[in-house]
Amino acid sequence: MTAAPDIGTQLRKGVVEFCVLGLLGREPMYGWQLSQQLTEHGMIASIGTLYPVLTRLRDRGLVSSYEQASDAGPVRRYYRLTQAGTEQLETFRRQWTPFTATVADLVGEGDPDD
Amino acid sequence: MTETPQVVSSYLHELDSALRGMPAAERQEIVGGVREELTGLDATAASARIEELGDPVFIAAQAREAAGDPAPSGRESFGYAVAASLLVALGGLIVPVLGWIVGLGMVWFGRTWRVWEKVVATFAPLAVGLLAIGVSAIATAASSGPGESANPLLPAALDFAHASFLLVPLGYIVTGLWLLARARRSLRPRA
Repeated sequence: MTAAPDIGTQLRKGVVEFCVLGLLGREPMYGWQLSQQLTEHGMIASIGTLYPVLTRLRDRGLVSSYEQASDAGPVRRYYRLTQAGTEQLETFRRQWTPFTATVADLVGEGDPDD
Repeated sequence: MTETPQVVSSYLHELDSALRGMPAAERQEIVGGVREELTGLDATAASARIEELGDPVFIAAQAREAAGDPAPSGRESFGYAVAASLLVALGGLIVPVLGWIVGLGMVWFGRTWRVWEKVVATFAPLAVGLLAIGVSAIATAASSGPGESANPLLPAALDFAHASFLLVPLGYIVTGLWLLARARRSLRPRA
């Protein structure tokens, strides 16, 4: 028996990088902060997903990291957008809305009585 | 500097072990990121945070998936674990000595077992062998008194040497089964 591919998982995989860019576009964040935001919104299942995504974004020069001591707690590694990251996020924003509209058109809304 | 609660150090250790086989930089970043979240918390707060973070095995599986790591899926690596365990258990009976060495080599190269489990698997059967040799030596000393011929009714040293020939393979069989049981535990998906 083969399990049907989980559509939600596939969709999330496609956009999670941009969600990270979007969050970092508001303010620099540390790992746990990002992880909590993404987990709450159901974009990732655990912090384990986050770090490889961050590594990839950093390798591509879209995100950079720096360490900063907090007032009461530990030294934290913060992540922020680079100029290239900001531009990438802008490009994504411009394409996303028309893209979803197109997909909605093609897919249709289905029969509400179903 | 505040002392790290036991629950934190063991959690970080488990996470680090679970990430074995991933690129070192990535592994350090994940463990470092989790560590910074647990730093400065007392045992109660740390336990609550650990609850939120979730099972290290799950975190590691997610990290592998997100990293596109072609690490064996649970099923494949379970096949590998079964093969390694069976080689440890029976390999030496099929190809004397070499079979066990190959089995243990597979165990050491595998990601399924923790280091302490690998150490136990490597030395437990040897310990059984050494024990048998020790018992045999004591028996030799006891049975060869000066000027007395060995009592044919007492177990002689030779018997213990024979016994060690049986005990060592038995030790490997038990070890192999134990490895299999440990592998099942560590690969079983946890909710």
